[in-house]
Amino acid sequence: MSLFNRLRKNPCTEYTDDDFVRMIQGGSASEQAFRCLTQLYLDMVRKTTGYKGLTREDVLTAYSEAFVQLRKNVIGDQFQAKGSLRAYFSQIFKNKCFDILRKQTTIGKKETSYEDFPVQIPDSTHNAEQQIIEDEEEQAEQKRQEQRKVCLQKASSWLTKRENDYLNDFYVNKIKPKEMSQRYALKDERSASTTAVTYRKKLKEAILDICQTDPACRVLCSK
Amino acid sequence: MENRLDPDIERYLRQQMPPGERHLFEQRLAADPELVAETSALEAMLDYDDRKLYSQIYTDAEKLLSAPAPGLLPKWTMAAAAFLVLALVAWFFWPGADPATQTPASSPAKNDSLIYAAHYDRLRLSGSLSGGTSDNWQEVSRDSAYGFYQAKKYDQTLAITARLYNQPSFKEEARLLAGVSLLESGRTTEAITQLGQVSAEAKPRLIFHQALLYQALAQIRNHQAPQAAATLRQITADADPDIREQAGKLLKALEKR
Repeated sequence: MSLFNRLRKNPCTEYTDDDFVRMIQGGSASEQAFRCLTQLYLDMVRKTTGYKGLTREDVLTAYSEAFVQLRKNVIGDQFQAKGSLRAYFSQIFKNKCFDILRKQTTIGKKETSYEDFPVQIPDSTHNAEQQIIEDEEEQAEQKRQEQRKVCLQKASSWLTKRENDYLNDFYVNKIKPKEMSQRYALKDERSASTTAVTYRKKLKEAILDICQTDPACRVLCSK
Repeated sequence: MENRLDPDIERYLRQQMPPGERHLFEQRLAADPELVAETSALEAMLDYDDRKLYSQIYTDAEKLLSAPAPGLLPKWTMAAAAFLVLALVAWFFWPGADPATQTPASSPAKNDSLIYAAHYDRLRLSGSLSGGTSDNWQEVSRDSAYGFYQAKKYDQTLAITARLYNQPSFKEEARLLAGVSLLESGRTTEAITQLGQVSAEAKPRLIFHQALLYQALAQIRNHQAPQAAATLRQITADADPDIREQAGKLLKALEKR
């Protein structure tokens, strides 16, 4: 790395928390925001690797999942900017690390002592039975959500990568038909819109098929 | 079909609706199967978007961690390098430092665990096994399954690979990925069976040799050292040099056990 590169200011440090929030909410600029945030908060990965036996892969998993959660919270207006974005992210990241530790303890991968449990259940606030019921309900809900994700993924796998990317850009990132036609080499804006409808129809057909053929996935078609 | 979605669907899925409005929307969902299908479709798109972001962050962070940290002074780097060299030399001459040459532990079971831990590397799909653009559902499924494996979400990996078992071009790779997932989630006996089903005719043949290596590791973890040695001996001269080297090291460790 040349001396010039060392001295040059990192452009990511120029953004404020407000800038990042706007970029994430804006959709199309969010990729740049996440590239910068990945870099700026990376010290958390370095500091956490090895903590209670967490491997680098474990910490990277928690780190990536935390960013997905951060985006959800920022878009859902749950980040109130009472503290810094870094502190807010750090809390999400910590929780994701604890989730991994808890999972490893459950499947018996690691021997864990009582002191390893990050959150102690306060004796006074709840009775133990109530707490166990709540924990079981939470676990059941988590399983339901995971099963739902598997079904959604099955549906997406009916489409090619290009089709999935197209739907993602058009409906999630809300890229205008004109830009879509340029990005995906289509004739014009009209064909960009028609293509979106065609792919969406294909995705819906996949969902209906999966609902009919896989009983575990019926949840996608009924409420 | 409209080219834009009902904006309420997105607000509902992104938790942006107040409780009252949310309740009303759920009533609409209960009465309208078409709206349910539209909602599930957008949910699938959002889920795909989450997975894309997840992969982007994971890859970027991994790259950044592998790159030298910016701003380190040359003096510091030199000192660290010198220390590292000294530590390596000391480690090399220190008796019993290499797990493969360690003196026997108190029990064979403990020894097996040590050998397994010292030789286990997570599966990396590279070159002919992955890469390129994914333009059919089987490739997309394979890539997704691998993404879940990287994230250690084994249940999802197994659910997706199961769909590929009857796809001639993907079944061997799917069995390898499923076998390794079973092994990492502690289901060693199932892993041995699954990996044993990878055909010697697999293309590329690397898949077959990788399956043998992981099968041997699973057997070691299951305290079946003689079977593991026999499995490793099936890794023939035409195997990838890395695999051959790993198999050789593992065989040596088993012999010294």
